[in-house]
Amino acid sequence: MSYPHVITKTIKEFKLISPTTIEEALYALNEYKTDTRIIAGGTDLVPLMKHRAVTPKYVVSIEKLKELDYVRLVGDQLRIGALTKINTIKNSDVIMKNCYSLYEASLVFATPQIRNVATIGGNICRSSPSADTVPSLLVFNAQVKLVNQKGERIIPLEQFFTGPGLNVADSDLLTEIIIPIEKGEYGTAFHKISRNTSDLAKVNCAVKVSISHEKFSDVKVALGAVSDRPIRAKNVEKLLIDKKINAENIEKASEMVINDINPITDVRSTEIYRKEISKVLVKRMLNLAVERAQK
Amino acid sequence: MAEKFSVIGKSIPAKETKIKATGECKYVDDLPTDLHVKILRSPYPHAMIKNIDVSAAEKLDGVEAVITYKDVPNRLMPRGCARALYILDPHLRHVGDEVAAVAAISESIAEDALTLIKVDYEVLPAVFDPEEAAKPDAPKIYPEGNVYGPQYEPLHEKGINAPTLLEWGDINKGFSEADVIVEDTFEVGPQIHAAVEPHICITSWVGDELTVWTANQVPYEVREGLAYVFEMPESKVRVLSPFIGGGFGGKYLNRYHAICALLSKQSGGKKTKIRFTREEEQTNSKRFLSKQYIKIGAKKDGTLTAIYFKGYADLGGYGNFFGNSGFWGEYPAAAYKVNNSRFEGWDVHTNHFTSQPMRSVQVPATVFSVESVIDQVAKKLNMDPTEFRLMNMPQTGDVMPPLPYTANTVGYPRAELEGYPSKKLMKLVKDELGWDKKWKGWGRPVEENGTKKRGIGIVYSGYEGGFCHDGFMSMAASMNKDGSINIMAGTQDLGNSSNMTMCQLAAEFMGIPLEDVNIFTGDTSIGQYDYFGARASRELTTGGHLLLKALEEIKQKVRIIAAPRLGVKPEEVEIKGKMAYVRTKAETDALKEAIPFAELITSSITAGASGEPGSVFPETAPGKKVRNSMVAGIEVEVDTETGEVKLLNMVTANCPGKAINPEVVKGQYQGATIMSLGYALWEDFVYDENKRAYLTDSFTDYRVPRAQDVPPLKTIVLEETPDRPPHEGTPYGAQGVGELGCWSGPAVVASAIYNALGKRMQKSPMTAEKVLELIKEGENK
Ligand SMILES: Cc1cc2nc3c(=O)[nH]c(=O)nc-3n(C[C@H](O)[C@H](O)[C@H](O)COP(=O)(O)OP(=O)(O)OC[C@H]3O[C@@H](n4cnc5c(N)ncnc54)[C@H](O)[C@@H]3O)c2cc1C
Repeated sequence: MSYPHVITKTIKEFKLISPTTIEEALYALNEYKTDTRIIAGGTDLVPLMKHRAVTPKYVVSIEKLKELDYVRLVGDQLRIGALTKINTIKNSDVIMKNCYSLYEASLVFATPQIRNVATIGGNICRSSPSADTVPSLLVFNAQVKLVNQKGERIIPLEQFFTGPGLNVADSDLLTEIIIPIEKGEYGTAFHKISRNTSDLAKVNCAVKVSISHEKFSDVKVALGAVSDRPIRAKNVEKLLIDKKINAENIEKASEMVINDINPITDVRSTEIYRKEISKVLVKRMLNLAVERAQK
Repeated sequence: MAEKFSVIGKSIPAKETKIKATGECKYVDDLPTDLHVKILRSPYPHAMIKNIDVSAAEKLDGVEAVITYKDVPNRLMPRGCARALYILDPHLRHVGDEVAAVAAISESIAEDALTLIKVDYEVLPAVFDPEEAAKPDAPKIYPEGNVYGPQYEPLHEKGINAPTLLEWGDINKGFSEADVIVEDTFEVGPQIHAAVEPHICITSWVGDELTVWTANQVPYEVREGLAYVFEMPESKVRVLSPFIGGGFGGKYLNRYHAICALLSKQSGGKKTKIRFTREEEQTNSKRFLSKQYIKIGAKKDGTLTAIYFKGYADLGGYGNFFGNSGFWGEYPAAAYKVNNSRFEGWDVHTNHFTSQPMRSVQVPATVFSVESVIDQVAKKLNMDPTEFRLMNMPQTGDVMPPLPYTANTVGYPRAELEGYPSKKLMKLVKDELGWDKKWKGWGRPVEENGTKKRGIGIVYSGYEGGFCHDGFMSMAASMNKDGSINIMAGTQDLGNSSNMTMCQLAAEFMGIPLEDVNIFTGDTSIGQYDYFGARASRELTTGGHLLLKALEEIKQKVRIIAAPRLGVKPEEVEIKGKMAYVRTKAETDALKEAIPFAELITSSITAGASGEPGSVFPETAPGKKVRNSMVAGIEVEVDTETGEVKLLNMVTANCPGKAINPEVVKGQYQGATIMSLGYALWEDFVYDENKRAYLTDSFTDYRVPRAQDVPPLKTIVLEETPDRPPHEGTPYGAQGVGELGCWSGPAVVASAIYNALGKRMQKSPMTAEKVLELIKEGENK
C-alpha cells in the first residue's frame, strides 16, 4: 500500500454503531448500505481506514454479538461463529480433531497479538487472495451463512469470493462457517511459504485426501496468493482421483497446478517463484496428507 | 592488565531502564504541542515545481501556517558531513521529497489541507542505479553532476564530481606476482534503519530564541544547521534530545527541523510538531544501495599480493554523512596484510531517498564482496577458508601499511595494531562451530537430507570502529565539594546505555561509588559540543577518552592543592575515594594520613577537554592503531526446491578491547548481528517505477527479523587491552562496539550457502526467489 503524494495516517471521521443484537446490526446495515462497514477485530479494516483506502461514514461494530463467537459440533457438522478469534481456533480441540489443516493455519497466522483480535469471519470477508484460513475451509467444502434483514442464505465458500478484496456479501452479515465432518480414512495438511515469521503468504496451500483401497477416493487441493482469489486446484484433483497412491502420480499431478493458478509479481514474491513453489507445495502437502491418512 | 576494577566490567542496567519499561519515560512524542505539521511530498522521483498554489489550504479552518520553497531563506543549510541544502527546494529529487508543509491544530486537518495544495510539476528524467547515475550523460540531479567525492570540511556546498582514489604499493606489480587471480561483482540493496520511534521533533520559535525537542543522534549538528540557515547565533538555538527510540545511523535527518521551526515562527511562536508516519520513516532514510567490483591476487603459497576494489554507492537525492567511500576504501587495506591495493569509490546521487550509514558506512557490503572473493581465491588454492584467512589476517602487534593522505581522505600513518586478536577470534569460532569436524571441502554440504542441504561458512571482518575525532568534541566534568561528579557530556545516548557507561568510567577513574556520578547530556545548552555525534561507534572511545582527560585534570588540580599539605610533590599524590594521599607510601600507611576532600576544597572543581583543533585518530599511543575485529560462523540449511534458507546455528567472536559494561557490549553485538541477518535474507527494498512508489513502506512489507527467525546465536566476547594508563588512548583500552556485530551477515550467509550448494550468491538480500534462481541456473563458481 502506498500513497506517496499525501501519506495519511489519520482516520476520516465516522460514526460508530455498536449493536447488541443481530437484529440491530442487520437494521443498521440495511439503513446505511454502501456508506457502512462492519468491523470485527479491525486488523484489516483499521489500516485501510488509516490510509483512507476506505472511508465509511458508519462503522458497525459486531464486537458485542457474543453469540457469534463459538466452535461447536452439530450433528455431522462443525460450526464456527464468524466472530471466533484465530486464537480460539488455535486452542480448540474440536478443530484440531475435525479440521486439522485449519488448526495448522492458525499456528502460522500473524502474531499472538493479532490472533487475539482477528476473527475468522473477518479473514473471509476481507477476501484477500492470501487469507490463511481459507484454503483449509475450501478443501473441507465449507459453506458460509449470510444474513440480512430479508433473510439468510447458505452458500459454498468457493462461490463467496469474486476478486481481490471482493465477495458476494453485499449488506450481508456473515454469521457462521459450516464444515461437514469428514469420516473414513482421510488426511489433511496446510503450509504457508512466506518471507519470514508471521508474514503474509507468498503461497499457501491446503490439501485433503481420502483413501480407499490404496487409491485416492477423493482429493481436494486449494491455494492462496496465486490468483485473484483463493482457488481450488481442480486440474490436480482430477488427475489423482481413483489413481493409485504413489510418488509418480503425486509428482505428475502437482505439476498440473500450473493450469489452476495465475500468480502475479508483487512486493512479496514473483510470478515465476510462485509458479515454482506452488508445484512443490502441492506435492509436499499431498504427500503429508497421504501419510496422515495412512496413520 | 591485572588491575582489579570495582565499577567497570560490571553489567549495570542504565538508569532509565525502569522508566522506559514502565512507560513513565517522556519521549518527544509524549511532550505537549500546539500545532501538528504534515508534509506534502513529491509524487515524482525527479521534478521541478512549476507552480504551487496553497491558498485553499491556508483558508481551511484550523490551518495556521503553510510554507513552500518561496517562504524559506535563500541560504543553504549545512548538514555536517553532507551536502548543504535548501529547507525547501523547487527541485525535487526523490519520491517523497518535501514539497510544502502545513501546521494545523490537528494532524487530521493538516492532512486534509495537504490535499488542497495544487502543484504543477515539470517531470524530469530520473536515475536510480548509482553506476548509471555516475555516467556523464545521466540525468543531472545537481548541475555540476551526480558524483560526490568525500570531504571533511564542515560547510561544503558542492560535490567534487570525481571518485575517491586510494592507492598504495603497485597494483599492477601485485597482480603480476599472483599465481591466482579472482574477480567478481556484487550488489547489495539498501537497508531501512527501522527504528521503533520515527523521526520526530517539536519546535518553538519565540522572539529571537529557537528551541527544538528532537530525537537525534547529532543534536549539535541540528543546532549548527538551524543557526546558520536562520542567521542566528548558536547561543540562541537550543536543541534537546532527551531520549531516542532507536537510531542505528538513521536518526540524523535534519531538514524537517527547519521546516518545523519556520512554521512555528509563522504561527507566532506556537509549538509545532512533526511526527513521521511509519510510511514516511520507511521512505526517507536508508542505508546505501551499492555495487562492488573486486579483484584479488595471491601466490601459490597463499600470500595475498593485490586487492583491487571499485564501488558505487547510491547517496539518494541528498545523502547524509558522506565520506562513505573514503572510509569504505580503507577496508581492503585494513582487513588483510597486502602491500598492493587500489581503491576507487564512487559516491553517487540518485533519485532514491536519502542514504545514511547504518551501523557503519558501507562495511557489510564490503565484507560481503571481499570475503566472497577471498573464499574463491582460497578455493582455487585448495586451502581451507579458515587457514587461508589465518595466514593473511593481521593481528595485534602487526604493523599496518600507512593509509595515504589524499585530497579527500584523512589517512593515517604506519601503525602497529592494538587490541586486534583476530587469530584467537577465528579459533574460538572454529571450535564453537565444530568447523574441523564439519568442513567437507569447498561447495560440499555438511549434510544432505532429501531436498535439503546444509552448509557452513566462516568470515572475518576488521575495520575502524570507534574512531576518534577528538578535536571535534568536548566533554566536561565538575567535581562537587563532596567529591561527587557531574558529567556535562557532548556525547549523546541513543538508547545504547552510553550514559551509564560514561558514569561507570568516571566512578572507576575517581574511585568513588557509581551512585555519586550523574550525567547531563542531550541538551546543547550544556555547553559542550560534538560534530559527529552518536555515530561510528565513537561515543565511548572519543567521549570516554575526553571525559577521563577532564577528570585527570580535576585530579591534577586537587593534587596541587593537596601536595604541600602532604609534604610531597603533586605527582606523588594519589586521588581516590574522595581523598588525597601519598602514592609512594604503602597504601595502609598512606591511607592513615589521607586528607578527605572536605578538608581540602571549598568549591567545585571543573575541567573540560577537547582534542587539538581538527585532531583525528589519537585513540592510541603514537604509532599504534586500534581496530575492531570479529569473526562469524554459521550453519544454514537450504531447501533446494523452494530456495528458502534456514539459519541453524551461529557463532560470533568479537573484541571490545575492554568491556566496560559487558551486557551492554553483548547486547550491541547481538542486536547488530541480528540486524545483519535481516539484511542478508529478508529486508528487501522494492521501488515500483511504474507506480512511482516504495512498496516496502511498512513493517508488513519490509521484513525485519522476528524473534523466531533468529538462530541459536552464541556471542563470544574476548577482551584484549593494552598496558597503559586509562586516560591515555581509548578509556581503559575500550573499543567501539555498536557496529562490528553487523558487518558479517551477508558475507557469512553467502559463504554457507555456497558450501551447501556449490554456487555463490552475488546479490543481497538473498531472498528465496534469488536463491532458487541460483539453484536453477547459476553457474558454478
Ligand atoms: C500485523 C498483521 C498480520 C497479519 N497476518 C495475517 C496472516 O498471517 N494471515 C492472514 O490471513 N491474515 C493476516 N492479517 C490480516 C487480518 O488479521 C486477517 O484477515 C483477520 O482475520 C481479519 O479479521 P478481523 O476480525 O480483524 O477483520 P476486520 O478488520 O474487522 O474486517 C475485515 C473485513 O471484513 C469485514 N467483516 C468482518 N467481519 C464480518 C462479518 N462477520 N460479516 C461481514 N463482513 C465482515 C469488514 O467489514 C472488513 O471489510 C494480518 C494483519 C495484520 C495487521
